[in-house]
Formats: sequence, C-alpha cells, structure tokens
Amino acid sequence: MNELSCPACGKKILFDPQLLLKGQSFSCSGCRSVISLANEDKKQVESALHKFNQLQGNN
Amino acid sequence: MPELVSMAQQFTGLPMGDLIGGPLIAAASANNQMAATQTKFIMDTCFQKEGSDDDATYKPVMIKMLLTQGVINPSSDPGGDPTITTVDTTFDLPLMTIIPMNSLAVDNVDISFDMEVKSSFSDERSEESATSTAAQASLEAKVGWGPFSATVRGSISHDSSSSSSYNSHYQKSNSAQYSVKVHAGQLPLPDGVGVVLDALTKSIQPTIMPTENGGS
Repeated sequence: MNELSCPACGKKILFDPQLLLKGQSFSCSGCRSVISLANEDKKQVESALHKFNQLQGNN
Repeated sequence: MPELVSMAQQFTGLPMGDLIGGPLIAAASANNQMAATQTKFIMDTCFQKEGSDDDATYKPVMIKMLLTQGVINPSSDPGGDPTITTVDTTFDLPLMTIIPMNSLAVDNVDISFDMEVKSSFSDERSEESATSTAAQASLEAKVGWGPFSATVRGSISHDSSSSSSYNSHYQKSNSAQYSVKVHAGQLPLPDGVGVVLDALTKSIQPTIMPTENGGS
C-alpha cells in the first residue's frame, strides 16, 4: 500500500496503485474525502506501472 | 609405507578470498545494477527533463487526481435543515508518489564451504601354518618252518600346509562442497527517495493565499 497526504486535511490516505488504476477510490480516515484517479491520466499511470512491473520482473 | 596426507597441506592454497568474496561482490554488483536500473526508471518515467545535458532540470511528471468532498450547505430558509452535497475538485499529484518504489534487492547471502580430506592406511599380515602327521603300521608275521612268510604292512602320512597373506590398503579421498544461497527481498525505501517523495507529497497541499488586507 502506498500513502499520500490528504489534500484537504493532511492525514494519510492509504491506497493501492493497481486498484487506483482500476478505478477504485480511497477515502481519508480524517475528513472522509475520497480520492480517485482522473480518467485523462489513466494511460500514463498504467504505462508507468507496467514499466515498473517489468523492471521488478526482470530483476 | 605411504605417508598419511598432511591436512595442513591440503587446506593451504585454497582461494578463501575468492570463495568468500566472490559471491559478496556479485551480490553487491547485482544490487548496484538494480539500483541503477531503478534510478533510470525514476528519472525517465517520473521526471521530465528540460534543458541541455549540462544545464538540465528535471520536473516531476504530474497526474490529475479527483478529490471528492462532502460540503454542508446551510439552508437558505431560517430554521431549515442544512444539506450535504459533494464537490469534486482536481489536484495534481506527482506520478512518483503512486509508484510502489520499494525495490527488490539481495538482502541475504549465505556462503557455505565444506571440505573433507580422508586419508587412511592399513597394513594387515596373517600367517597360518598347519602340520599333521599320521602314521599307521601293522606287522604281520608268520614264523614257522615250512613255508615261511612274513608280511609287513605299514603306512605313514604326513601333511603340512602353511599359508600367509599380506594385505595393504591405502585410501585417500577429497570431497568439497561449496554452496551459495542468495535471498532477494523488498528493501525499505532509500532515505533520499523518501525525502523527495515527502517533498512532492507536501507539494499537493493547497496553499492559502493571503487576502488583500494582509490576512490569510
């Protein structure tokens, strides 16, 4: 699980990049705000994660 | 008689430095290679290079994220119930922050070297001898006038046997076993990458602009 700071309250939001890519949203435990990936950048994230997985697989 | 193998001589000259250092250097080299590959991936994928090689700057690649928040709207009617609506806003997030950066690396190397030198010598002698003598004699005589006859019968046997054996056995054997076990696992994030990630993550926090009268 990765984490990022909630833009609204600053608390940590845990998220799974693969699930984020599949369209799942993750909520902040502090303010209940929900984050999700915008459709316009899904391909870019997919490409980056694919490259990263290839990198892990090769190693 | 052959001499037994000198143990000290057998173990002298073993390339212990190579046996121990070789796998360690290989593991360090593999880790180095993986770190370099990962760094290249980060720089190529998560940053955008601007400017020439001498004066290049790297800007983080940003992706758009949606933030959905519940907002309480007070009722316009006095005494009316407030309503809750959701508001979607977008914010930019550095791509690097959503890549699971923990990487694989060699975190354990076990080197085991067993060498066995066996040398044995045995000398066995055995000698056996057996002697047996058997004698049998019979005498038959007839004495008398007239036809004279005398018969003498006798037998004697003598057996003797001897055997000797000499058995010499010399055995020398060497066996060696060299095993290297390498385990790769997930390493914690390097401190430097952690600092960069932290800075990038903080950059998504909204900045409160001061108002015209100087307040915030």
